[in-house]
Amino acid sequence: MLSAVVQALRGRQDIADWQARRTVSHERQVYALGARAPEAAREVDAEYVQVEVHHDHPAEGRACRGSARVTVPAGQLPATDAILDRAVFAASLVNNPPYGLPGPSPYPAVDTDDPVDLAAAVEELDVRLRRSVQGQRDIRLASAEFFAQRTQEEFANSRGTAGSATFSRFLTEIILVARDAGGAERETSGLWSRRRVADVAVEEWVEELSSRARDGLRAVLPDSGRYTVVLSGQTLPQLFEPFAFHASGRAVQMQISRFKVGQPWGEVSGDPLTLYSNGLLPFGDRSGAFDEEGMPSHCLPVVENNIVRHQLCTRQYADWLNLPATGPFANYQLPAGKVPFAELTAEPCLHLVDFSAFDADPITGDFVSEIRSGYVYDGCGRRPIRGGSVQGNVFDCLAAATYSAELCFLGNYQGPYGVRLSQLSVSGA
Amino acid sequence: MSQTEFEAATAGLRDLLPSLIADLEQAYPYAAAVVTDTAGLEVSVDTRKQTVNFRQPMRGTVFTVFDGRTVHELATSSWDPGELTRLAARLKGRALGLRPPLIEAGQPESGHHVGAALRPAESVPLDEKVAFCASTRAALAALDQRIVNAMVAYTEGTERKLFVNRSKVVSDEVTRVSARSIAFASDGGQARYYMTRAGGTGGFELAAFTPEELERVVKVAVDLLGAGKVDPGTYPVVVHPEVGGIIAHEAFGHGVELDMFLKGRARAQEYLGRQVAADLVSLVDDPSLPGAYGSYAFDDEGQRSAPTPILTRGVFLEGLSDFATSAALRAKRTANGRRQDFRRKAYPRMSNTFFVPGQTPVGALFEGIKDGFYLESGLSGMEDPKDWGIQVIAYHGRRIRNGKLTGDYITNVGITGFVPDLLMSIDAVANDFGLHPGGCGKGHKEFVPVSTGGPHLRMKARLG
Repeated sequence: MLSAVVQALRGRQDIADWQARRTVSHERQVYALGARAPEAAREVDAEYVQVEVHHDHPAEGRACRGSARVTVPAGQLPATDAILDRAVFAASLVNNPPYGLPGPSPYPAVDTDDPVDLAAAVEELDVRLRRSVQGQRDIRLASAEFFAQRTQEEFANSRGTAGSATFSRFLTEIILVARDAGGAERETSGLWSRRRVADVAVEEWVEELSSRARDGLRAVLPDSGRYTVVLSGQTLPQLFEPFAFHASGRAVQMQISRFKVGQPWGEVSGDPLTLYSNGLLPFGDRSGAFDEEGMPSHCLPVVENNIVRHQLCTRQYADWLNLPATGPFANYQLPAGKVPFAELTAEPCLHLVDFSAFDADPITGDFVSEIRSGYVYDGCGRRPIRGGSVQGNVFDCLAAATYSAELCFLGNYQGPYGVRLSQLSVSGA
Repeated sequence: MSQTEFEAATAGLRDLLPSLIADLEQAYPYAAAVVTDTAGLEVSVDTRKQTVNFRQPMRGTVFTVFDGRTVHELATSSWDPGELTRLAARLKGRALGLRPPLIEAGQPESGHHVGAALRPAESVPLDEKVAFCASTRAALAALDQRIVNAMVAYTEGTERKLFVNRSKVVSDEVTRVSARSIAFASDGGQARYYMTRAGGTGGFELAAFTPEELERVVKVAVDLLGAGKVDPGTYPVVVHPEVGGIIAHEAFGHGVELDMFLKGRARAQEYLGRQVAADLVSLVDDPSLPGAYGSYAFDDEGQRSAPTPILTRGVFLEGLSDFATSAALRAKRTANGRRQDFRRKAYPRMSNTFFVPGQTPVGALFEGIKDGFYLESGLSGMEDPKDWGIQVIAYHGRRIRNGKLTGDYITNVGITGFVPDLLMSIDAVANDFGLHPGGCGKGHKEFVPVSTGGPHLRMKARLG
């Protein structure tokens, strides 16, 4: 299918440059219910080619380049020319400064595919889940969803760049409920995306969710106030999303980036920050041999010892801003800190392990989130808490952070398992 | 693909699919098929960049069979009759044993529904849409020199579907249009932004902003440069419909989607017929609301849309179902079976969810508040159906002192608490009404277009 589309693109005189990507995917899905038969079982196949065309034209007395993206769905190959006509017309209306596309370049070898049988994999994960839940006291499985997908991609552009890659992805959602002797119930849930079955840690996740659910039964609302807060687990990648935005060529071009290459990212009083964008991380969620424009993936320091080293630019922004083309931010990678995790909670603090939704505003860095699960450490032990919210700003709080020595892998993040932040505001009792 | 093309492309399938469904029902008590095609356009113009992209079409076919316990589906991006015939045969070949009795397939129905539009989006030239974004952006940027970037984005998406089961051959075409105007302000150190959004089901006429709306976007973006944070605590609060709508959606929307009952995840199950909110609070989900962003004529399982009164005078009356949950729970079928696209299953999902307006003039809501907040714009929310916690994030608000709005702005304000406590605390419901377009996920995935809203409300809320 890709070659037919490429042939059509090559035959056009009105297209200055183009890139095309064929995607073929197969997915198995199982929707499990606790004590019942599965709620649903699905199999999905899809195929399409996404095309971006570039059109050069003068506008307002200057040379301009416009682009537009279209899709040729499976079964619509005969309509390719008509679809490209629409794309060319759209691109001719777009007046951006000129920029180029990446030329051929060797691609690194990156592990992105677990060559397991998808049907067998979801079946095995379901069995492992049920066995794990049976081993937990006072816990029942409310529901679980397993999605196992394999995607094959082929890429080509008008500058002679070509590549192909295969990606597997295992998405797992687990919802557990704890029940006490009085009939009170508490729910915990998690959603994980991994590229290989070996990283789908069902038993570990069930253990963690079960423990949290049981603790939740006796959890209390935290007192309002300012606290030292320790964060761990799935929240950690979210903390760095504003860094990814401000380190992007897009933010520079919009004139709202707070970073400048060669300068400190902020006034840091805590552990120094080193943050890599790593597109080569084995089985990372955002890993791949090449990026959306067909540029080879890299592992690059974005911040090194608090100094901003790179603004990450696609080829388009690189040409506009006269910066090196690096591709977009990939997986977050941070080195280990110096303090064992146990020491992070040795002083009085709140250890917050789960939120309703932790979304830091990528532009301002502000966040406020409801606490789903956490613990108060007051020097005499730990007590579970739940409810209320924590409020802060990632740029402020990471300026005074302490990172744990233990590392963890969270799909799109490899770095310290925990981080201690100073003086966050908690709204509670 | 235009409507005519859709009807032409699916004409053969209207003949083929009923026979494939009849064949599948030789082996299963229920079978259905849905053919979908979603296509759209995104135009964005900011101070330094323009983009025009056609959204990736979600064109595919789903065969559904129910064996009495489990829903089985095969989905493909193909519409090819030969491929669909092979897919149906594969599904039939997986049937086990004797077929239980047929399951109710709904009232016989056929026909094609097209949403109303003054200027159908597909008939408006693309250059007019680009020009709308460019001229609106220029107007926005010219309003204040502290605006370092201004962006106007226009999106349209047309969803076409053909649903076939034993009783129905129905098709529906809905076009959703939305436009956003965003101003980014900077004082050299920090950046703030503010946005207004217009949209609904209809045509290009929905993409419009008044000069006053643009002036407000710029003013708020600039004012937010001086915004503070709320001191954690419980306050009297007046919420704009944009914030109140998120409360409706998170408080008594997700928690009454009946798959939550099936999974034993919903506290609401214990409260059917009981008082859960103040008696001046009524809450509705209505996919049949003309022009609203979450509207449709039929859900993705062929059910004709109609309103569901979730709360009436504070009492929880009914939840939202899809085919599978109504079959499993023997619950009333509502028109809420929706899928993100053909690649995902249908779940019970909200459409347009809102509080019903009351009698109080908006201005009267502020009277008597000595120290409180007016929460003016919404950002996000998250459900907690089992434990009835709530998280609603307001993007910005202002302080109320002695019944008057002050110029003291706050930003990123979280409302948290126990859902019945929050709903019981509502002591005034205004007589205005507003709906706001948005997207809704189930947990952290499965996104569908919805709207939320209602009137201004006054309540007591824990802010942080």
